[in-house]
Amino acid sequence: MIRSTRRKVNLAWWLEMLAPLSIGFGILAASVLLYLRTQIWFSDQLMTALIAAIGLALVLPIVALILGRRRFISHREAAVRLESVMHLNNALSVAEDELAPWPQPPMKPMVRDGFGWNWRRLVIPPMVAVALVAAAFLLPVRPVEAKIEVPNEPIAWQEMEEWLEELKEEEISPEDKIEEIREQIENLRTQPEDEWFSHSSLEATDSLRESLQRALEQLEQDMTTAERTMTAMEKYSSAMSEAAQDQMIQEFQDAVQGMEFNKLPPTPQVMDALKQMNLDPNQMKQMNAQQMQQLREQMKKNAQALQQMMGQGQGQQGEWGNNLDDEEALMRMIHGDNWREGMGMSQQPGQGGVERGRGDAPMFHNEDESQLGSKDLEAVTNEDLSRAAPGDVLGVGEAENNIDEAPVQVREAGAVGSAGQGGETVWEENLLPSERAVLERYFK
Amino acid sequence: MSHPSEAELAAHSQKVKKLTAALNQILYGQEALVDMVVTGLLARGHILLEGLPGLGKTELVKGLSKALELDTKRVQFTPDLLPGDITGNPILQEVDNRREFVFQPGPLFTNLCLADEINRASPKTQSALLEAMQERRVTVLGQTHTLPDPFFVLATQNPIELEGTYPLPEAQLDRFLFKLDVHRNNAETLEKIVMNRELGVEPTIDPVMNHAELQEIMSAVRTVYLPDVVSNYIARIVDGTHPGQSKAAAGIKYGASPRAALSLASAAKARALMAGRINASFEDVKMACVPVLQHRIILDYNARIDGKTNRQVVGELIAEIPAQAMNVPKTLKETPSA
Repeated sequence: MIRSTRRKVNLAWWLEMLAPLSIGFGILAASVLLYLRTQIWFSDQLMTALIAAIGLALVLPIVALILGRRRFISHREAAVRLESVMHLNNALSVAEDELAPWPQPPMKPMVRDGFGWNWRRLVIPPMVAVALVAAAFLLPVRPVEAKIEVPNEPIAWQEMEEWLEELKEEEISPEDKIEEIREQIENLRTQPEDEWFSHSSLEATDSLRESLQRALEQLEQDMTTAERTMTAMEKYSSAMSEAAQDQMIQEFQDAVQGMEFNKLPPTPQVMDALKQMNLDPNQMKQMNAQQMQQLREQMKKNAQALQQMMGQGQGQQGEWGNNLDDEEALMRMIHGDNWREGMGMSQQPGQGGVERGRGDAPMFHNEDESQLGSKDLEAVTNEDLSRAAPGDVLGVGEAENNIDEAPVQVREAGAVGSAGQGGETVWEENLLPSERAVLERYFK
Repeated sequence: MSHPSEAELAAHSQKVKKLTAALNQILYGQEALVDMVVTGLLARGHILLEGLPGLGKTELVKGLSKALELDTKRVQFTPDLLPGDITGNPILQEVDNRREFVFQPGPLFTNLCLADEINRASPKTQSALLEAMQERRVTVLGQTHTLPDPFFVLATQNPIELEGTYPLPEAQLDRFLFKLDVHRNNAETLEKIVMNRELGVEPTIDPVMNHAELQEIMSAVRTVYLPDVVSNYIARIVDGTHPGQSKAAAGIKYGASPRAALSLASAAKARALMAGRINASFEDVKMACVPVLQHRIILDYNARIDGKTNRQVVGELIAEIPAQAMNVPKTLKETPSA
């Protein structure tokens, strides 16, 4: 009986020490579990986490035992407890001291140590711990997505450098011009890193990129034009009219001039060759055909490279230089995709040629819209109307409505009491002055 | 210290039981009182009896003296009682043709001194009794005279008619082992008294034990084993009478002295012997708490205003302080013992 009392009290002390540890374990386990569930890799490490949790849970009773041992009661204290509760007149203590024999145990085997279990204290702490862990398992948690590697610098810089590198590799533009652009990019890069993505820095980047892209696109167009005109004049000048030839020559010269004044002009060698090129049929015969061929191929190759850089299609090379036998094919070559049947040498609508054709102006009634590179929409605001440029927000004004103050009168049928105002709006607002003069003269 | 054997204890216990039985024949309906008086005697303590007149306090003392074959003297304390009247005075006498002062012992020189209405005597006379109670000797004119052994003082006081009385000082109160309240008898007891007593006729009682036996028993009381846990219990109870040491002590101004602890131990041993046990126990201490402590604590003003009595406070103290000083974990709770 003394031993069972002692075991009971010591067990109660152990459970008393275990209660706060179990709550602490529950809180810790729930917190760790919630955190781990936010990690993507947790599902793979679930078993490891479970084993760790079980291991920690097994350590807790040992810790509780170590903490509770100093409060455990001795055999003597258990004896005193029993004799006190059972009113044994300290017979057990005397027997422990060997001064009297041990008293007879009571008839009923039930130990009456005067202690009952405090079930609330026993059950609540582990229940709280289990509830916390269960809540950590059941709470909906979204795993943190894997971090996306954010480039350290704006992507536009890398894109522009790739273009410049491509220009350098293909030897399209001279290095000094390429370096000029590179220096501008480098100037942006030398800013403090926390300002790389500032508004001003990004605006400067966009501006530089757009200007570079325009220059490259313009260079590509000019090279394409130059190559085409050179091919046309070389091979089909005899089939062209004089006006068409002049047109070709003019276009070639415009293209060369455009390339010369481009931000990224062709290499000096190509530029010199282009300047020396004379597309006059009489002069062309005296020129080195092989050189012309090389120049044309160089133009073609550079134009293709530029088109690939800009992410455009394969271009409009097709087989237009191979199977041209008549003026229609030439027209196709000259007009490109805008060519329609009946279109003359000139690209102006409704002018020249035996077959006048439909006279469609460019960009009208065309199946495909012209690629002008102007799909980007940019909102423009102008808070300071005093500095508003034409084309920006012009202004906001207040004006009275045009109110017809003419009295309304009812007369005989068909008669008008007063002539209403507003009819002059037709020629006042919508007609050109010359047209207005014609109408006035006509109706007067 | 050697402890008495169970046989010795049994023999002593039997004699004490005879004594209490004999006394219960004298005083009807006061078994508890008789029990405690005998306990006090065996513990060699003085006893203060407080009760209304006519309850048999004097008869008890007389019966006790007859049963134990002890010399008894009764002193009626009055306001004009002088110290010499109880201790004794030197009287000028002619001895061998010479005149000299010869000490004449007073009524204190007896085994059993009944001090009736002790609170009516002057403080001076009370203090004369104080030395005798504590030292068991008196000093008169520089000469110390030892009192007989055993020497007991059984004092009485009236709880009413307090006008013109001198409350016993705390120092003297502390020297009484017990303060016992003598309660009135119920109707059944009164009927028995009427049936068996006559006014003015003292009841007869045969001697139960002689002086030597009493001394032997009293010596045996001192050898009763006091377990350390019981000593610890006594110490915690006495300590709990001091302000701030327990909830029950909230209304106590001054607590009990170490003499109270010794008194408790002696009383517990006496009770153990009376029960034939070799050791004093928690139960013995609990039984002795109220008589030992109730006259040794002083309540503060608030407690007295609240109507608390010393007896109530001691009762609360016993209920509050557990017999065993053991920290109980919160996972266990105390259940009422069967």
